[in-house]
Amino acid sequence: MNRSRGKIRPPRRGLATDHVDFDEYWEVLAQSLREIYAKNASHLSFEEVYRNAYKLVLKKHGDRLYGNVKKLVGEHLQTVAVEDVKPLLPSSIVTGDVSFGTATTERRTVGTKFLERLKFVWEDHQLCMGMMKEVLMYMDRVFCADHKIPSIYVACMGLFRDHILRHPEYNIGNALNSVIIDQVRMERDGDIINRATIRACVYMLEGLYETEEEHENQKVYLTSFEKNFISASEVFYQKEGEQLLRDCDAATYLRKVDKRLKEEYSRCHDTLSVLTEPKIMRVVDQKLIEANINDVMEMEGSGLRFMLDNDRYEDLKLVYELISRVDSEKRSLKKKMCARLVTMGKEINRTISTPQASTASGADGTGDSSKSSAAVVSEERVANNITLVAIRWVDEVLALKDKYENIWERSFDKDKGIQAAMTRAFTDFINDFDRSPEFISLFIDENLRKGLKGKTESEVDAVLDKALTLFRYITDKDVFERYYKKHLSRRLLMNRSVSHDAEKQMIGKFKMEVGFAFTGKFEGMFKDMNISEEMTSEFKRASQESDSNYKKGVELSVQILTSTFWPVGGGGTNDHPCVYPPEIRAARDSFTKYYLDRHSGRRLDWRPDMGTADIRATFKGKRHELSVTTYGMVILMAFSELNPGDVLSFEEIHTITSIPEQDLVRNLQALAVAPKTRVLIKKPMSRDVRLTDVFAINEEFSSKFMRIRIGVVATNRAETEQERKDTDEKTERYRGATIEAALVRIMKQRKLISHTELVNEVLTQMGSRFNPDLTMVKKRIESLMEREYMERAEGERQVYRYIY
Amino acid sequence: MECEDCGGLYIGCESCGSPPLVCSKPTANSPTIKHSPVYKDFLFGGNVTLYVGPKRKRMEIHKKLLASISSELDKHVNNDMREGIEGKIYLPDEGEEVLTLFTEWAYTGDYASKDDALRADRGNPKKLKQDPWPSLHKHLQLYAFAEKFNVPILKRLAESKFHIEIGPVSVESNCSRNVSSLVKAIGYACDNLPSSDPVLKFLAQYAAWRLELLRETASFNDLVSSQPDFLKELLMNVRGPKAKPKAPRKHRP
Repeated sequence: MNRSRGKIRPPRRGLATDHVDFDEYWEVLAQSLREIYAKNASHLSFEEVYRNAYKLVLKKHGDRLYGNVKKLVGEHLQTVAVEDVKPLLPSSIVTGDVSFGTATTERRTVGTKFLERLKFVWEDHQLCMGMMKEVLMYMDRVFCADHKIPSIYVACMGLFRDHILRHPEYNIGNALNSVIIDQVRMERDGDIINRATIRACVYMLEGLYETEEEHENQKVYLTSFEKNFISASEVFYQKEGEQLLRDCDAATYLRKVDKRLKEEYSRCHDTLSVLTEPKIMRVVDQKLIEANINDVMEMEGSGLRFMLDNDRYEDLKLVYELISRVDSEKRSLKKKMCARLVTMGKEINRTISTPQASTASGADGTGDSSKSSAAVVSEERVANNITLVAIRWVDEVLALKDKYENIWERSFDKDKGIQAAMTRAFTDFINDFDRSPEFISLFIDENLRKGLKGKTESEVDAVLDKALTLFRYITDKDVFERYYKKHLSRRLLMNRSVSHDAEKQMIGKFKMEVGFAFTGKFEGMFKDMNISEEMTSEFKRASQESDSNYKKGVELSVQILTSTFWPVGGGGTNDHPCVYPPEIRAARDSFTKYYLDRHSGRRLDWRPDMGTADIRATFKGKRHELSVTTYGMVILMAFSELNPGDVLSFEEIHTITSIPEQDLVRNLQALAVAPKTRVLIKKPMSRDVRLTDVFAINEEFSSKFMRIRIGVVATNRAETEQERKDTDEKTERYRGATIEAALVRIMKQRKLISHTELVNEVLTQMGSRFNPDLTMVKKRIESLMEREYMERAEGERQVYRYIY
Repeated sequence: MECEDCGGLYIGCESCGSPPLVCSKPTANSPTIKHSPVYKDFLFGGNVTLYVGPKRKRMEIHKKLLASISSELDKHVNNDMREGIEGKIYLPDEGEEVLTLFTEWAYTGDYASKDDALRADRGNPKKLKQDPWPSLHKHLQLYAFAEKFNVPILKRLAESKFHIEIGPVSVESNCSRNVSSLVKAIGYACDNLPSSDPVLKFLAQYAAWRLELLRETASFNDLVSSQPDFLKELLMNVRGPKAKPKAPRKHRP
């Protein structure tokens, strides 16, 4: 012994190899390792242990050393399993008879004790292995690396797994899984458990691997614990979902689910492993959200409908967040929300159209063969009411839009998909209502006429933008254009527009939205107005220069309208007959001559139905200036020749002026019935003008104003039934023409084209303006073939050929 | 005080404010690259006492410096065993000379394996031909030390010095001292390095290159017979006769 030690100790550089006796060195080492286990390391010399291990490895005893260390550790662990862990093994939890036999508190105590013991055993193992790893560093670095075998630390972790967790007799690992799952279950039920101890045991499972390669997805935690945990959780949440659905209202359900999600999240972070987070979240998502969310949304009196109707932003936000977890498209939410939105929208449409329908039919009921003046006036009134209705409709739709937009902003995280769905829903119900284009145009008209007074630029902009948002939803843009043109023309001609800037702003917005083709005519109207103004002043100058023809009493102001831009109807003097007083006739003829001299080849149609006149009149010695319509002026002029007290009957006025009956009624109504502007008196007095009435100058008329405006009833108002029929017809005609034009354009370009292709092409070209009716397209094709613009290609039935 | 340029410590006069002369931040060549603690830490971190060799020659070294060199040395210094508690480390297997060179390297980043007197005569190298083997042997010893305590930088340094110095050495038949020194060196390397070490491979090639000289010496034959791994490595480098061996004349047909 002594001799051999002497032989080893001094470093020899001789030729003979140092002989190293393995057993002798190992005995020293093994004793040291046992001391480490016994917590007696403080009297060991690190250097000595390190040197011994170094020597053994250097002298090629690495494999024996490695094997012996493993054997020593393995034996130690076996003792630990039997003596330390086994006595605390909670058999009742493992065998599964938990729910009945054992009380929760007892189960918790037993389980916790077991977990604490395992924690202790594990931490001791780690500590000792840490020290052993250090003294065996040279072996790890040289022997293990050279032979590509796991380091001693890794190997001994595997030993812990095999000798403790997978103990062939006691099945400690299974017990551990069951106890943790049992404890989590207690926590889910509201008990308080010792999270730190569980956490320590989970750390252990996470630190152990199935193999010594230590693949991240081979953690014992994942391979043995997690699977069981997930399936136990599935059962738990399946039951919980059913129970909540039975017991709770929608809002409570959502809150409970949200709470569960948060709990599971923090459980993964505080108690279990973050690795489990996505998986357990998936379980909650599936069992509590995916499976039941539709039922929750459908809940009577608390579901989605209730939340939407009552602006439950928080609850809706939860619905959105929870659904987002299971469906990035949020299909069911979109579908249900839009269904409600469309119902609400249609409800607005319905309440708006119901009273109107009844009054309209009432108006029709008064007899339409010879339209009595009463009928005309009452129809006017209905129309006026409808203007209010139109504005109410727009307001309500806007309010609905605001409501849903608010929800969208506050609860739905401004989700793009939901926005698109909402747009579709709005488009649906707005276009479902056939008067929406007219109503929207009326709304704009109302605002441009009076609504904008005293508003700042940005406020104006806001109102116009609102109108524009509704405009976007309209599919029949051409119908809207027609109404807008009509309303715009009245505003321009009667000078009713509050601000030309606002008008231009609105047109600018349309232009941005649908392009020049849409707004060209509107702009043309403005141009006409400007040219007319210049023309008027030029004519005045010219007239003054050639004094002979200029009548001092009449000052003419003209508005020359290009008939294609303006919705002024067919024209021709016959459509609007009117016999002017001589002075007026002279002025008219003079301007006609002047105009036609400058623009040869044009035709001027005079429109007394659209003009206005300012005339001076003296009542009781007081001079007044009356602003009336052209017709009104013509009527009043008929009285100016009479002696005081003379009367004219309706018939007589009609003969003198040849103003169409309907217009005459409307104007006489303004002159003789309206209380503040009654410059004529009517016999008998009544609210309606009848064909049998007799009229005279109202000598008693007095007013504190110098200038009196005698307006004709209603400027821009909703259409009467009759007008609407006209508009519809016009629209149909116009659409037919547009479709035909498109057809011819396409044929000219393609020469030969199949039926479906042709129809599709037309549909895309028309899309921005209106949705063409398929039968209309077919009819137009037939008609074009009749007129020999195109023909069926020989032999192929579904193909057309363009005829040059 | 920290250096403005590198954040390292100044060694300068703090009280008079004179500009510091040295910036003490360890540079890439310094032995402290791994943990880069600053000298101040060394100075105030205390000492550890080394008892070197069988005679337990007492040496002192700054504790933190030693610990910063490798995790193995760190564990020798900072542990819950005797060394950590007593602040003493016994290194019975190491030589005083090796520890001295190691300490020189630890503090300066380099070590000198030749005596100063010999260096002074460098001006006339042809005249005084030195025996290269003691120096080469020191490199091997430091190399083995660095291998034992896992100090890769020192290992590389010693290896490169070894290669630089063995380059010009000629092992000729007329110089038996060189031959026996080479055999000794191989013997030392076999005893103190793991058989996979590149220096051993190099020495095997070197021996194969001068095999004709070596195989005639008894010491080499002893070495080969006691070091099977080295023999194996050597054989990898030995080419056999160029032609197919012929049978002795009497057996020819």
